[in-house]
Amino acid sequence: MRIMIVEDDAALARGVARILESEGYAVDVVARGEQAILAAEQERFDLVMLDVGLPGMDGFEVLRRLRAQAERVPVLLLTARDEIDDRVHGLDLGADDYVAKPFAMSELAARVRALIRRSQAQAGPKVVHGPLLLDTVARRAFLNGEPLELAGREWAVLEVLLAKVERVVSKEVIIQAVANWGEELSLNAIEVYVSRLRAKLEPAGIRIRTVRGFGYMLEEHKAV
Amino acid sequence: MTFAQAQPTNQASAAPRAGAMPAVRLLIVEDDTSLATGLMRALANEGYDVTAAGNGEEALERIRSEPYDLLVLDIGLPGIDGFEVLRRLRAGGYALPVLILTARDAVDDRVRGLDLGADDYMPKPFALPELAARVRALGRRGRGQVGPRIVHGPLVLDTAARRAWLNGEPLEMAAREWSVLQVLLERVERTVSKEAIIEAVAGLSDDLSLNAIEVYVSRLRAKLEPAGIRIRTVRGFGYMLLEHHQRSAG
Repeated sequence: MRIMIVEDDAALARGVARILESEGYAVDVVARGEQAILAAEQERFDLVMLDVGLPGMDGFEVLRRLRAQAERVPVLLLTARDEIDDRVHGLDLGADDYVAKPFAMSELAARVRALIRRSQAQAGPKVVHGPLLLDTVARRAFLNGEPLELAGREWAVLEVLLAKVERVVSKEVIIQAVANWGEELSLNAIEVYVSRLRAKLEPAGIRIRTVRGFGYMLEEHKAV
Repeated sequence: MTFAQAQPTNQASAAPRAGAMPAVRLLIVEDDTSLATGLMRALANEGYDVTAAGNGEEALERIRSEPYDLLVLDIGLPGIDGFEVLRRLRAGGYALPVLILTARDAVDDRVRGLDLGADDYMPKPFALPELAARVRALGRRGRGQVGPRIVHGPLVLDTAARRAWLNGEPLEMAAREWSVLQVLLERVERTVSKEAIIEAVAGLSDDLSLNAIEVYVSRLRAKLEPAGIRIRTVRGFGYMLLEHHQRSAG
């Protein structure tokens, strides 16, 4: 899952980015609204965390433009502007949540999880696929009830595939979802993560099919 | 105690207003009767079809027997508390958006509620306009829309203000026409059965016939076809809103 932080306070942006990265997200930071619009046109994000008070184009205007372009990404407004009118304005421009500064990092992280869950159409914090269970809050996985060890990237790739069961996902889309701009992730690296996932999941009957020249597809799990 | 004792009926529907009323069904779970009554009135005024339950068991029972689009959930309830209601809902695979509205303001409570599967968490005291805006945001996301505006060719629906425009001119629609149009707009180029339309637009208290749906669709056609927006009849089944094609460039 990939998050864009739009925040002109560099220290705050870095701090939030570091914590979200430690929760397993790929995070990109931009400081200006214009950059945010460009980035949203070029890349696919799973969530945008948007400050309102930005130099130049403000966060409300960024939000308005994103929604006018039918950009569906969940947007969380994070701002020092705490008036009720600002909250209502932001939400009615199409924001999904509004958090006032100062905020508790643990609450912000929980709100991020909630928004991503909703946008991925997950019913609850636990994702179940046959014998596989992902607890997205505790970030723990279980296979047939046994704890399953997954490296950070394996988890990230699996989440992308689980959000699109029975649909083909290109390697490029996987890279976009699991890596930020600073990282150079090759198509080969994705193949490695998938093959590690297969080694762990296939014994339990969970199959990731290769779609030659394109990408992968997590198959619907059928009870034997 | 249930609200049935406090009120002859524990369901409030909005008075029909011109151009209004998305038929979003909202359940409020709150044991403070006067707060619940105030919330019901305020949200019904916003066009929601609102029901209240005074405790967690009653809420679970209602959700199992009727479809709701959104739940506003108190935590401090007699019997099982709101966290437990939420846990059971998510464990049962119920995906409806949940907004927790509670006096419990600690960060740990917020995190716990959100991580149990709530979509939003508002501490009391709260401002009603903010609650209404958060409910709108959840309703939007729950229905798979994102922006407050739906655009279909020359037609624009502002779901926050509940106003519509055709070719830039304000378009008047009765409440039911609006609801039917919203259902069709959510499924452009897909056939929607009349039964599905009834289910989506009728409040719990309403009895809507298939004929009534035909009437609303024909009124919508009269308003929209001059602008090139077509609702096709799929004989014996229902309707389909066609993709809008630009007739001429420029």
